Amino acid sequence: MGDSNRLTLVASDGGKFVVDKEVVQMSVLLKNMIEDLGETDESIPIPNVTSPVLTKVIEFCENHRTDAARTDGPNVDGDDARMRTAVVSDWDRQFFDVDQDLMFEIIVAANYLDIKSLVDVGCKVVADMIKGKSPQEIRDLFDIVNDFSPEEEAALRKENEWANDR
Amino acid sequence: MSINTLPHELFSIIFKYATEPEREALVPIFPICVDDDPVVDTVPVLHLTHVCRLWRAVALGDPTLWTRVDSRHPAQMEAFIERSQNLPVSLFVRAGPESDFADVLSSLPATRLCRLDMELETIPRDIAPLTHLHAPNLECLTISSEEEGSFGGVLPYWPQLLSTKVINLKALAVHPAMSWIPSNHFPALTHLHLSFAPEQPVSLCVYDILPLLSNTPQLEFAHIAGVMYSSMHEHPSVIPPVALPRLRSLVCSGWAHVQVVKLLALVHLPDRCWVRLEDIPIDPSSDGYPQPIPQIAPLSHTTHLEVASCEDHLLLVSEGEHSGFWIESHIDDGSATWDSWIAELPAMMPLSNITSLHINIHHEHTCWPAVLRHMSQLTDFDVLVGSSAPGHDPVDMLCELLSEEPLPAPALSRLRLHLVESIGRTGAPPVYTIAEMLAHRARVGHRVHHLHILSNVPSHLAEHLDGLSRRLSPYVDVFETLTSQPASSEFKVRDVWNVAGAERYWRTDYVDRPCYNLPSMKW
Repeated sequence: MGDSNRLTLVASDGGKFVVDKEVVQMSVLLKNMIEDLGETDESIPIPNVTSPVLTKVIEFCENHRTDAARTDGPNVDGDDARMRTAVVSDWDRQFFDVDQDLMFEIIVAANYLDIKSLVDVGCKVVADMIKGKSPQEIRDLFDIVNDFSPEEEAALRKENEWANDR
Repeated sequence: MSINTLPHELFSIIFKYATEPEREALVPIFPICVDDDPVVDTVPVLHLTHVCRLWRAVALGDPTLWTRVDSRHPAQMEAFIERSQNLPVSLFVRAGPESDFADVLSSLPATRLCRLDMELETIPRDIAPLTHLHAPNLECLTISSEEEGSFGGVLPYWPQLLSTKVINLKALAVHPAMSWIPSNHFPALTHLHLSFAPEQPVSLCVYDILPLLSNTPQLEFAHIAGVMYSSMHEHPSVIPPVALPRLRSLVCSGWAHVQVVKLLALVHLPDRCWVRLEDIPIDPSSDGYPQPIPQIAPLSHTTHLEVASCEDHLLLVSEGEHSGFWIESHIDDGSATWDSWIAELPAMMPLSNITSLHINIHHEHTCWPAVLRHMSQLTDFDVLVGSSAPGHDPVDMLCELLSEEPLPAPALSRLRLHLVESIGRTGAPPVYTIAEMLAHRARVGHRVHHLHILSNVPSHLAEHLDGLSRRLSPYVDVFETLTSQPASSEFKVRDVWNVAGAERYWRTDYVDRPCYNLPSMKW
């Protein structure tokens, strides 16, 4: 019989990760699975997440394991609840200081595992990369092809006049 | 993996963050002046739709991105209204000479409005269009207009705002409101900011304001400016007091002193409330001498008191953990001083709760004996020592006072004297007088434990330090001399006056923020 406070996650490439249950339960998906399974020694497969990505996800959860209580309190100012969880710390920024491929894979994995705080922080980091940039600068940043037709481009130019007319 | 392979729901979150204003710009500064800051910045969301077809499709498919609408370009407003589908919208409207106030209002998607910010280039003399607006879901309404304008023939009146019941309106701000005051019942209103133009020919008085306050049972934050009727006339009927049980902050700026005194007598404030009376002029020719402030509930639990007064200017701030009272007032023609008003403080507030006191004292002050003798719990006493006259040194006056029988402030433990050269005190502190006072208090069992003497001229203290220490050390446990910067002689605002929640719908204009205004104090 293993340690009842820990369990094993298996990444899509077979990598195994022994993790505290408390940490794993930041994922709503895994929390529900654990509750359904009850006490068990079985490993939990994570078929959509590779080992490098799962390593990062676990790193984030271990660092933020005490955040839940902080973000569950009442919001006295009535702001959008999601805004409160999207405070990006220096640690978070360093955490996401990775190549874009890995950054987006982490965000997608967080979305699949339903780890709200990681989704929010990841999306906020990407949003901060976008803020203040022109459409062309955004394309250059993310290697996006401008696929608008000449007619569509003409319509966009009209929209630009809205901002310029103020 | 590239960004364009992300699921749409993640795109929506990214776009939301990318288009959200910075936290400090979530609400505009009131009164709104578009020349300073764009109230609604539509550029970020437009840029997102111009990156590629996928981004445009995602952005256009998310109505939440289009709910902050700027009406200044009609085509843009139309597009935003359409793209926000049926969601509630916040709308910023600017009406200038070429766009009539009524025309602009009639073009709004009024039933979807949750917030309406109007910036008018002229004061609307006829606000009928506003009274006909059908906006049942409106939560916040602000109207800002230029102050210049013709006021001839405008009499006070009390219109009903909006054509529907304003059951959802939580915030209302109007600058300037000219001579009209809404007469609606506002069952949900929590935030109110009304300012009246000082140039208007018929000044309003407190009796014009009370009906509005009696219609706002949920009011938490009120800022009313410019109630300047300088003579107190009797109201024809008896006015019942107005209860504001949820009020957390009351700011009255630019009120005639007689009006603000009357207001405090006619409203019931809760214990936990911050009351700030800013820029309160007194015209002695019509008002006579400053009237005392009525005892109000927020003063019942204050423990810290600051009083800066000189000639025609007064700043009094009394604070506790959850409440406070602040008045900054000035006598217009300099024909009276605040001395006798301060002497009446015991009738205005329970001084026995005060544990720390910060005052200035100069040779013309005669009020302090009457005040200090009520401060049975005073432990910390900071004194800015002001100007002297032949035979009237403030330090001598203070020491005499602290040595009187019965002994004032018997619990006094820490005394700080702040000597400032710029006010004319160039010599050393009167050591003998201070020593006598300390010795007397020690003899009768009320020893001062800490004595601090501050000066912004280090050499004064350095030259006399040995003598000071020798004479004073037998009577105090801790004696310190400190040098200070000239600026530190100023009284300083505490952060408690920035009441949490006050800026939920608008941020306070710089000139209206809590700030001690002591420009002409001759200490």
